[in-house]
Amino acid sequence: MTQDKKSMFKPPRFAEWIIQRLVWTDDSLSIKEDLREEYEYIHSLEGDSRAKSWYWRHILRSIFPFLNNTIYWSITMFKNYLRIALRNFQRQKSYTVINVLGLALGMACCVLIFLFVRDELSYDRYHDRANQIYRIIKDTEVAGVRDLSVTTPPPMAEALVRDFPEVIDTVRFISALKKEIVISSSSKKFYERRFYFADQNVFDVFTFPLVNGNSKTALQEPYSIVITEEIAQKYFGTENPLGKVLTFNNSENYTITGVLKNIPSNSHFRFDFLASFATLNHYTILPLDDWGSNALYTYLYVQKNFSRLNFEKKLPTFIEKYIGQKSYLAGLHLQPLTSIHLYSHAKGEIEANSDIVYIYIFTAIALLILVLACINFINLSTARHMTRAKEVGIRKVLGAFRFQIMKQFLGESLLLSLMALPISIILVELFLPLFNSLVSKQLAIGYFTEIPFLLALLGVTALIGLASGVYPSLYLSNFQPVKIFRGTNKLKVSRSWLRNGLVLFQFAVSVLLITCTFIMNNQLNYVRKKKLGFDKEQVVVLPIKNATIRQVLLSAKNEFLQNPKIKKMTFSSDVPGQIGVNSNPFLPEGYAADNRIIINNMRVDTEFISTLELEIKEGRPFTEKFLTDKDGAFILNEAAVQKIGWDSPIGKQLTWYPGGDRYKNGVVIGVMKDFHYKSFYNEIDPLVLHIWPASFKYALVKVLPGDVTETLAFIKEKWIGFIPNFPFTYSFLDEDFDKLYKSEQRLGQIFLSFSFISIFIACLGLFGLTSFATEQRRKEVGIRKILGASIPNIVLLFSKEYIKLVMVANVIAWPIAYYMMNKWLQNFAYRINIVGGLFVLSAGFAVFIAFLTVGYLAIKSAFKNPIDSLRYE
Amino acid sequence: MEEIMKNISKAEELLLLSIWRLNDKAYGISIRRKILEDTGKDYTYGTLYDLLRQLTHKEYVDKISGKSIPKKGGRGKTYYKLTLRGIQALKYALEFHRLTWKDVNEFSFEKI
Repeated sequence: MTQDKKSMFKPPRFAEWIIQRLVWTDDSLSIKEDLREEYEYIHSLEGDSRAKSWYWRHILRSIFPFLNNTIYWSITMFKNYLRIALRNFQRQKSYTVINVLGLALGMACCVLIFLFVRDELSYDRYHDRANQIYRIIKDTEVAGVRDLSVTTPPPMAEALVRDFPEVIDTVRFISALKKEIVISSSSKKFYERRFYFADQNVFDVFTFPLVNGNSKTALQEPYSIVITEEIAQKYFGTENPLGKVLTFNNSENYTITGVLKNIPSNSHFRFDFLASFATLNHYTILPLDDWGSNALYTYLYVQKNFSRLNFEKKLPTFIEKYIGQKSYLAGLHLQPLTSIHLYSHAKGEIEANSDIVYIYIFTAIALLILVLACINFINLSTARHMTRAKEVGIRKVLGAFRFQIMKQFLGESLLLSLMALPISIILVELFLPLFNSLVSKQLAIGYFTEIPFLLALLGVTALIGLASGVYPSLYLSNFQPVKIFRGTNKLKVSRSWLRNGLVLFQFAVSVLLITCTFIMNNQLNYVRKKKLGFDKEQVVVLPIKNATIRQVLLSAKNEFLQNPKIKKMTFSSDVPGQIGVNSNPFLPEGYAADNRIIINNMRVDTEFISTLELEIKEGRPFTEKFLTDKDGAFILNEAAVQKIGWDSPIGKQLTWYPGGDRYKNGVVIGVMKDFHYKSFYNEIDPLVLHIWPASFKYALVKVLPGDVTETLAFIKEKWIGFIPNFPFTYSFLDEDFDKLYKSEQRLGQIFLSFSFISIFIACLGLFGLTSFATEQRRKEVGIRKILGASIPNIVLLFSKEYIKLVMVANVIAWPIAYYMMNKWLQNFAYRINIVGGLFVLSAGFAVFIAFLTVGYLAIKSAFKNPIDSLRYE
Repeated sequence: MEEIMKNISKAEELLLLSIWRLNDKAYGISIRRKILEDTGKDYTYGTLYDLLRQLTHKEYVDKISGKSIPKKGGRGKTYYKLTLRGIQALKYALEFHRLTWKDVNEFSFEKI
């Protein structure tokens, strides 16, 4: 065997590379060398090809033992890493706890938000044909205002199927009279809201499985009805409801022809009762061939390769054909069924929809919080690098490659995040009830049913661990053993730009959330307390569902007023805060005969103005004394006067056209100050008040302040005495008004919780960093104390740096908060000014919290006896 | 104090014997060649090094790096040397063999 390098015939490089990859121990070198010797020997004896084939065969035969070797070695290394990692965790419990807790919190937030987002995105997708179902809506222009409206005329559906081959079928829904109705069985009676009529093919198009009954025939006959399981339970208990009868408003009888599975909560509208459309042929109120009465919801079922854009292009011709040049209809649009919940904000939505914006915001927040937690991990690991320095040095001396060390630390961070996983699950379960009430859903993790989700969770956890661990492991594996053992790597808490930058980011995010929370809460308080222009306190609202109730209450008014606790009682067609105030055409004096303008109007009685304490600016309120008030008096608000353009409105003529051929002539007797009869989202629109008892839909009872339960009981008693047929319900005006802002309130609450969480995590990180700093610098502190430093001096020493950081974080966060909140406030017609004081407040708050965190540790270290710190040399 | 000796496998025995016979010249290629010469068994390097690793782990054999005396123009050979335990294991194996094969020679297997 020659050792002359020049004459060496090397074995194939590829084969050697395979050995290198298969064998991870340091034997690989020896193996290669041994094989090389043999190769040369055989080569010199038997030539090139024989040597090569021998080589390859040999490798092939050795594959299994090589792998065995490698696996064994890997296991040993793994056990070692694991042992070291666990030992480290134990020795520095507090850091481990901080890391794990922070990560668990971040993950828990993400899981909760994920559940929310997943639910929101899943609306209406459970229908088999969801992708082929669209809803058709109107693009309207009324009184100069362009709007989208959900209701469509009855004959449209049929016409669509007739004229367009790509429309396979249509289903129409219409709700029963839009108000609560009374449903009674033989033994039970309740108010119900979710009563709809539907075409009989509803089950062919939508997926509403029937538990009982035949889906083909259930809604064929008039006066047939299907109910949900819940309703069946409510009215009939465990009996089979098929064939039984439900009475509608004490007048009509419907036969139950089917029982549905409960409608899933992720539907854009849900119903409890579905009656056959054929029934409506018997009603004269709804002419089924009237293209002008927009009363129902039309859904289309289309072919598979349907193109919405192409279809919408054909619609203008369609409109012309059937509706002609009706002034209010500007166009028709199609909405995919699955997009209604998140994207549709048309007028007249059956149930309130959500908004895609929320999804974006919440997802962003959750991710931000997770990032904060990961930052903590990165910061703590790199700050404490010195504690692992020796270990790294020794490993390197013993021959570890940098890559191996990186793997070790990556593995440690992976282990941490895996440890955080069960804790985060526990946190999720803990907070789920609270979260559910916050977002009005019933979210849950199906531990046995959602295996893919759980696996994904595991994967994401691993990803988080790896992502957080990348930078620390790069940093830690970079050490050169010589420097470490020579001691030139000074043991100082180095001013790391990256670390400080990360803390800055954490606090900037926290300050952002806090500032937004402050501003939001301010706005909500403002809205709640702002003068509405009327008195909404102590007003009980009794809804009038039908003519009977109305007559009874009107005549019983005096009896009510007998009660000393009841100050006033009035009636009106609308209640301030309700969204649907009526608008009709009016013809003011001085206008051309065909130039009617549409104005909102409320029909009230003479007591209305005084009950709600509205202010009359000019003229006088309604009074019983002038009999003409009943039929010919109008009171306008300032906005109405402005819109009409009168200089002195008192005494001017006004005619009201409520529809059809009816009209009412009258004279303006007064002008009242504008008051907010809609929510704060809207500017105050023009409003006309006049007396029209036939339209009364609410009785408003003003009660004395104090304990109202007694008064309520009195009212209820009277009610039951007069109208036992109809259940007694009531609400409070101020509560009703507050409900308008429910979604804003919820948003505010959510921001509040998230601010808490984020600042908690940021402080966790700060706590970890500072506690490490105080530990490292205890000698320095000891010396300073000896040299005469006082406690405040020491505290300042540690807090200086971080307080500065928090200040800077504030400055960064302010403009972003300002921009975001400005946009949000645009939603409100009446909003607060974003005042500098709010920013200062949130800055102060953040500094305060940070100072507490750092200060606590600094004080602890300042109180240490210098002797103890300096003792060990 | 006598350790309780476990039996070593045939392959381990063969390997230990070869290493012992090779004195201080037992490295990968020489071990393989020796076994091939003595018994005709053609061990692959894979099996060989795997066995060596096992023997090292059980502390029958020391793996000594030849880096301390770099040969001229050569490589740092790592060679293997029996430990005390390894020798004891061999002795035990011999005893065991003698016990089990007592009074048996090649003619004992010819039966009528």
